Amino acid sequence: MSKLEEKELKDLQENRNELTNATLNLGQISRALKAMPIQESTLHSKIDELEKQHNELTIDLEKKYGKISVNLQSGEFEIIPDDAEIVK
Amino acid sequence: MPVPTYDEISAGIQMVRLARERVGQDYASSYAITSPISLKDLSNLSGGNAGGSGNSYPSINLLNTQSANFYRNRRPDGSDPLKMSEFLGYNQTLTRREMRFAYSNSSSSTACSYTISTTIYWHDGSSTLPVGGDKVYTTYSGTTVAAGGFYQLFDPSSGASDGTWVEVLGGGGGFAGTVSDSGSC
Repeated sequence: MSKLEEKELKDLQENRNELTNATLNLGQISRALKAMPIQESTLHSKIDELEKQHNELTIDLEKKYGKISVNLQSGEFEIIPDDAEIVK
Repeated sequence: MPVPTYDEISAGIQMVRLARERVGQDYASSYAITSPISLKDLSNLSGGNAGGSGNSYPSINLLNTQSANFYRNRRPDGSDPLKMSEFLGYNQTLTRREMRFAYSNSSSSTACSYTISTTIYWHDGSSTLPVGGDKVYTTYSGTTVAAGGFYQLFDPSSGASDGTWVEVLGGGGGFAGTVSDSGSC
């Protein structure tokens, strides 16, 4: 049986291996891309839910303290005055 | 009154009421709307009645905040899928822009240390955020102006800090509520 020269065989094998690796990588990327819209949608829903929760928490605080601005690090807050000027 | 916001509404938006708001009548009015009412026309940024509506609707008032977040969104984005909920808080006759802020009466640095308040004020400027000379009001149509002090500004669409503050003049007189100074946090 005839046989390729060593370098010819090596070149072919290397090419085949690289092709296989590239195909595997493409498959992984395709799977990741397919999952991304789901992850994006999940994160959008989570952000909406957290916004809703933030709003509810703040409304509870406003019932107790009035309209306020809060420092989230220290917990200090300042009341937003209601007695603003009326322009005629 | 405009379309109720998410926090204000107790039931779903009624389509005929939304149509009344869209023609510039009050959401709670009894103004006569000609059927049919097409959500496609109501949501069309350019208005009209190409979707087959009995009324021809004016353009969407773009002063209403458009946001990907339904809590901040006040108007439709004009694209599919069309949703009635995109109109929560919509005001056809709005003449001011929403201002989201954190307030301090003592300093800009203190205002910048606060997180966004749920209180919404309104300004009469032509940009998204108020700038020098613009006047800040406590309501979308009333004449009461914001108290004097420092306001950290937040993007009304994203809710993220703009990294800037403005100072609003207090006291009496015609300059009360006017933005007099600004800077970076």
